[in-house]
Amino acid sequence: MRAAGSTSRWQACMLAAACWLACFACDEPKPALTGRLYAPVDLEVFKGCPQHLPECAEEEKHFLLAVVSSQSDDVRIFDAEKRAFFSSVNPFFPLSVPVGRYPSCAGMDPTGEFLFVANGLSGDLSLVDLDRLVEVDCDRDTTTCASSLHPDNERCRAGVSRAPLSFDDESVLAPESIAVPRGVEGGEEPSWSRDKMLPVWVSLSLSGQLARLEFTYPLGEGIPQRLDLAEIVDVGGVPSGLAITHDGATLVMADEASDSIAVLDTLSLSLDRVDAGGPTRRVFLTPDEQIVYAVRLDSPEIRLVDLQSRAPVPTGYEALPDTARNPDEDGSSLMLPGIPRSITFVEGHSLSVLDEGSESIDYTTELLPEEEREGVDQEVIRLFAYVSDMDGNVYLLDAVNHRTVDSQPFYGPALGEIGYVQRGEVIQPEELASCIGAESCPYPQIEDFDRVYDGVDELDPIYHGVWLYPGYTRSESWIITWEGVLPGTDQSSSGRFDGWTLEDERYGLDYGAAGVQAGDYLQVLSPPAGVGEVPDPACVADGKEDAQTYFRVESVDEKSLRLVEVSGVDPGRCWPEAIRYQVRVRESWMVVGTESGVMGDRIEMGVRYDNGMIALTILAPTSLDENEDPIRVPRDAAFGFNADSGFVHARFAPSIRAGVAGELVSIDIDGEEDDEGRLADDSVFLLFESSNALMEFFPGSFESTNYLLYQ
Amino acid sequence: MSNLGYRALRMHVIACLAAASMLPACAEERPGIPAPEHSLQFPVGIAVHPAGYALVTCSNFDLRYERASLRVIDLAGIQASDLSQPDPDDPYLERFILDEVSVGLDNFGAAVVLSSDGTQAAVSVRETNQIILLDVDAGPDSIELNCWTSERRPDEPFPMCDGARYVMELEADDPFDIQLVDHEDGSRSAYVTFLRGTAVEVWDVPVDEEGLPGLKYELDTEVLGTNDIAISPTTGMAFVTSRFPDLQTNPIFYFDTQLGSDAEVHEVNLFQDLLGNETRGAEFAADGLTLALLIRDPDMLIFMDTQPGDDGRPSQRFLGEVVVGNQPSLLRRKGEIFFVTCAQDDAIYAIDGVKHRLISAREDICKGPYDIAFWDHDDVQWGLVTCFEEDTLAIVDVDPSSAGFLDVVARVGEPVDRSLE
Repeated sequence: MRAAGSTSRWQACMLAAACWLACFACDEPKPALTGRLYAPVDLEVFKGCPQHLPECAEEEKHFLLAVVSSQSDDVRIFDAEKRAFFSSVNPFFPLSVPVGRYPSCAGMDPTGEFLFVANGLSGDLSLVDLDRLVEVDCDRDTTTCASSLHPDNERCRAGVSRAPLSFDDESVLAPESIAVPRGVEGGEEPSWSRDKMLPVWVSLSLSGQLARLEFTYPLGEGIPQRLDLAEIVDVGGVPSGLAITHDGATLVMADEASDSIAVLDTLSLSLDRVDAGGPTRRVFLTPDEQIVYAVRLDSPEIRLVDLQSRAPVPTGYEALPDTARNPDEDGSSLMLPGIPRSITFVEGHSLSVLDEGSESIDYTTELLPEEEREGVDQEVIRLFAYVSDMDGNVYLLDAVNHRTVDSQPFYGPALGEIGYVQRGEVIQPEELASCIGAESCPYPQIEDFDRVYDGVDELDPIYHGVWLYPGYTRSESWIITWEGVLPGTDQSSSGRFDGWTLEDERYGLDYGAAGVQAGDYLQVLSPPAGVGEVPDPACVADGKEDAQTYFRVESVDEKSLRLVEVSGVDPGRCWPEAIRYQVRVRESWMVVGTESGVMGDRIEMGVRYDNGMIALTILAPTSLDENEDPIRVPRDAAFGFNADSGFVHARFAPSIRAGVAGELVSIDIDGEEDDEGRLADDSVFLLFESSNALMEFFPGSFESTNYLLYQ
Repeated sequence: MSNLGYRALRMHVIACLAAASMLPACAEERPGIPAPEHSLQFPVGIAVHPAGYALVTCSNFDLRYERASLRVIDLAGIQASDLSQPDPDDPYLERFILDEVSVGLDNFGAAVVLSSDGTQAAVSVRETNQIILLDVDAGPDSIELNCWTSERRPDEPFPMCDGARYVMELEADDPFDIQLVDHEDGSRSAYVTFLRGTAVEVWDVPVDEEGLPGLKYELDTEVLGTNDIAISPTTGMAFVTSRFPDLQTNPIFYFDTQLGSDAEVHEVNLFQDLLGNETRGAEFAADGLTLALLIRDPDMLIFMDTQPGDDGRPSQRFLGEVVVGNQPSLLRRKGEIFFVTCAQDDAIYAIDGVKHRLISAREDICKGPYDIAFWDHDDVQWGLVTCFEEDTLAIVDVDPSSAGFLDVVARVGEPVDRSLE
């Protein structure tokens, strides 16, 4: 930590510095005493000797994390196997490897020997020797040191120079991300040849550029490593996160100032722009390097881009069952509840989701319901993208099929807070509930609802019940307007069509007195003309297949109804004889989803998340009116309620919200195969940038309390 | 004292002061000791008059003196002096603290703001739940403050303001931030937040000599501790931060000022966070649509697009974030640069408001940097920083093209080392 000094503190510091310099003036710089993590921004994994075994053999090495802290200007080392930070000479303090001012990002060489740290405010790149855990020289000249180092600084006295990120010393750069190819040589663990120059790419967000540096490994005894700025590539915008293919041939760049990501051919420096729908802050390549996951800056969204074709990748729903479709997605991107921050790909473990009986089953590509699962080999997914977000959660994406994962895919929608409005009077849910099952109830009731997978009948006919298509949004409000067959209109069998007018001379009939209004519906109950199931063409509207049996009332007279014409239909030919019919109020059985629950605030109906529908059973009032007649439901009566359609994102939500989740890495620490010979990542380490914490959690066990928090 | 020991002590002091700030107004003790002349005592708020004067509220936070004060500092005089050759008789530039025009305040004076035309100042006073209005008459050569019914400055050091024309008795407790807004009809409103209340009070502020201030309406956020307020000149939408909420959700509130008392207060929870309970600063970018919000736990500055959507409500599209300091204090904007003070780190951070990147930081501005205001004159661009813990005003170079960006140019007032007290 750095703070302004009082005189006494300043003197103490100067004295300590003087003693330090007197003792070690010509030695390599040493780790310093500091406090805990202080605005950690990046972390890298490497294998190195545990602190208690500095001269360890290869098989004794541990997985170590290099944690870059922006406000303490250093790198801390965390032993992922001992679950402890490396300590300094004073064991109460963690070891600190000082770097430049406000380090903002880091990258590592493929062999895990060196860490590249971009310094945001000193505008240069520090090189950290991960074996000795010190910042080391970049220019093979121990008589020079970095201009951002004070001449009296021990690292300056040791000749530590840094690689500039610009040929113009004056510019403010704000380096945002580092990309270093891992290499494609070797076996399963790719490695870069130490004989080759290693490119190191850094995005410079303020200048709209990429910096390419060249790193040369130490060349035997006496010829140390070298890191030089090689070139600056103008790419425009606000370059942000970077990802690079293992062979280093293709670099992908997020851009916070445009709606596209950039794909750079690192050999020719040709640049392609691919639409990302909006600004992006991070990009990640899937392990097979086929797909780019672009993390949007301004939207809770991951855009997918095919690296080879440079084309947006559909999210694959069309080819998959609908049982886990995210209602928020339109097929071009993956939507999440919170603002995404970073991604790591985790391999090995499957993910448990809940089946229809609330039992855990492995998440599969197919996600079939129970009746379809039997005997079918489903592909269990074992590759997931873990996405950290601003709220401190980690969401899981299916990185095989590239889609979001519903942790309760077979849970049907449920209703809640059912209310009823009749002649403007609001009947509260509690009163309505007390009415259900009672012998005498003046209201209609939604007695029950069933979840139905097979939605074949939902439109045929519409009176058999109310069918909801939940899931246009995950949670939405609904209003059902009472069907209401108008009394007196359903007792005729003497109506006749004269063109588009229905006439009925039945004694006592008065459409107006019965309450028929323009906009209501005439429903013809008599069968239409035709042969067998095939209706006569005069009964079928243009573009339709079935007979038209509903007609909208245009105007009302005492004995006749003028109907709205339907193109293609000739009622007189379709029903040449007297007909049976009834009149229903307009919007009868109208089911309306609303975003606010307010009548009139309608959203477009549609099916985007088809994990079943609800069939509602509505009972008429059981009470009698003052004349001992059944209570009729008025035409303005309506039910309102909420439907929760059940899409629940698979996520790890730690019981402690430690702040804004940032960078994360996964590690297969034990390196042991399971019963089926598979390796699996055991631990994920997650940084909380602005609250100084490092969290470890476990892909094999996702309880919200199952984590470790380090500070 | 070791660095660690000092910091521990410092944290203790800050915690004590923070705890004290939560106490109800309790400072009835008036030992009768006048504040030293040409000095600052726990300076908090600052506003800069374009004629070259800084108005600084000195909160008298430790109640050592009989009252707080609003001090006037002659910036043009400081600029005209040779800062490279400090006067050995006045190394702390105290002669530029103009006591003869400064006024007294009750304890815990907080924010000070100036009207857009520079003719009126408003100061929040936490102890007495008041806003003090002052008429300001400033020119190149002099400045006069008037807040007395007699329109004559009493012949005493740091005279207290009087009269209903100048002293607004607020409804809620512990006023904190103020925004003065001029309306097209020539009237002026003051929007006031309260650290120990849930309301935002909107007052009619007289612009002529005859009028009296009056409460127009108040809106309730229902969450304790309304902190900072920013009002978009483009949309008229006001955003209020919250300092002591019960929930760990970092809430902010917004309402449409154009709807007056009919406005509905909406709440937005920024983050679910164990520690997340303070949204601190709010400032609009020059476009009037991009809102910068300063948050503690997590300690960061975030940017949100508040452009109205189809429903007329702000889109609240997330635009970016920058991690800043440790327990950041306050947010101010100059041009495209947002400045964040961090009293605990003695630091100031400068953030590019367009590309949302930290462009510079300075960790040794002074002890307890709190508020910052700006003054551009001739070839200088100054940031004036109140240094709460050492009773000084730090003058900082805030010219982004300058090689000395964020360098301290001068300090006004003799520094006090409270770590030794």
